[in-house]
Amino acid sequence: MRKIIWLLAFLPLLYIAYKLAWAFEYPHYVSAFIYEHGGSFLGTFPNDPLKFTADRLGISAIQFLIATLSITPLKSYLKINFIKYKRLLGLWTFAYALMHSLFFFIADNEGSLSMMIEDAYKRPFVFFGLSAFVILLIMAVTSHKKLFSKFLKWHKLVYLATVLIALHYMMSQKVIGMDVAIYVGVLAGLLALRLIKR
Amino acid sequence: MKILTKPSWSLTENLVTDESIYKERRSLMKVAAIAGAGAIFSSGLEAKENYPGRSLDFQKNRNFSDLKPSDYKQITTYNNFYEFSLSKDGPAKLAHTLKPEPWTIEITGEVEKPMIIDMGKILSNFPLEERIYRFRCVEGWSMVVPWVGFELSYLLKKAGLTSKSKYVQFQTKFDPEMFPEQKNEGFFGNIPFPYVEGLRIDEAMNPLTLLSVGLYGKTLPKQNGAPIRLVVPWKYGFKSIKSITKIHVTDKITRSTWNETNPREYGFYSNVNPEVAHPRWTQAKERPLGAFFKQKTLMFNGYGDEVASMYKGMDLKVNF
Repeated sequence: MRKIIWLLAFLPLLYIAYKLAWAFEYPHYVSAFIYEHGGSFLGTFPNDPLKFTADRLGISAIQFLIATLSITPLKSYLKINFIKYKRLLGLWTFAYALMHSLFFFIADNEGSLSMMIEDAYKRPFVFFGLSAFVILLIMAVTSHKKLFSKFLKWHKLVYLATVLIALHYMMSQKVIGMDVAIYVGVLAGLLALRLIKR
Repeated sequence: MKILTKPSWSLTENLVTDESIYKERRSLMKVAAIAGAGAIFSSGLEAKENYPGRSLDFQKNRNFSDLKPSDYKQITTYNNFYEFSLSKDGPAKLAHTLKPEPWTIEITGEVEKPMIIDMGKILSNFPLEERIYRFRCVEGWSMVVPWVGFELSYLLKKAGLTSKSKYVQFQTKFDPEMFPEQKNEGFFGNIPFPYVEGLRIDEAMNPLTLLSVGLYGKTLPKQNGAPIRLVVPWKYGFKSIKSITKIHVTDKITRSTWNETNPREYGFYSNVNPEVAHPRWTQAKERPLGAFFKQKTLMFNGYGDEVASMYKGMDLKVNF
């Protein structure tokens, strides 16, 4: 099961690499080969590579968040015990959140801390995203065996992070289409399941 | 009034190709050939004669601004056309239901000669030219498009303007058979249909304002607003309404779909302005299609010389 999780975790990264490779002189031969041998459904170079990369990393973070939040309801309601995978899924959520935030920091804020602070101050969706990232960072660090028992209560912050992430996602789109609505709906549903149990 | 010797929209083809670039193009074309037809490497090097659509007869203009047009593939596979799909790649796959023939434009309102004019008449009455314009979407991406069309002012002059001609309203064709999502108004992110847009009369009569019937020398692909659309290059792209069937001249301010959907975010003017942020994101920079780096957004999308005078004395933060 762990191997499956690791494989699924790397798939989005491989997909991003495949898509961006089209733009480079030698790497594009690899993508072309894949495209020619059954990979045409993957498409070619994205028209908006910066948006594509940021979005793909962000969506993967949300997908791993959903997986992580599903663990406890799966046990509570369906008696399926995947508790031992929760930390791994949580860390991958953080990993993608980190990549997404770093990418935004470099591509949008040009690696400038002052620009990022200004952006967070002026644009609510950036502020929500940054706050959610900080929560996930705290959780990732304190998930270590030696720290976890002391910081267990802090991990309740995941509920706040989920709300911030849902808001961040909705506010970054021009309109809220069906796929956005579905992700937000699932996150809301999982929150409800977790909170009702308490 | 500033007299321009060279209009900024007037662009040249770079006639002399550097030898190293020539050689690189040859090797890239070989890759595309090995990989198969279907233009898998978006290099824009596919022969222009092979683009779909009917060839248009037009005058080529000189490229004074040295703008490099985006690839045909980029322009025709990245479209906001909610009548077909909320996604950018959807319209290219779904727009086949659009039937651009037969097609007429009805001109009504404060004009001397209201009329219904068909595309055949339009194409024979107005000589076409190529205009290579920057295109800037409010979402933050941009491209350069080699449009083929004629100035809107020619059509308006033909209809004859009066002292009451203050605003021009445009409407996209309403036909849910052709535009399936027009049935799903209000459903998950959908905007009200039919799509409407408007300009002040001086904006409509500005020589930059184009009625476009083609791009890259061929008739407009359906996902780009076939058979005829507006191009207002100094404004955000949503003002450049597609697939027009109605033009109504009026003395009152006109409706704009995005403005009605969200007046706090989309104003009547929607001039490209790096200093006026969208409520949720900045407009200071843009992502040119295909680029790995953002570039600075220009005031009025770089067309300030031709249009800034229309907004003299206006507070552009209020009149956004």
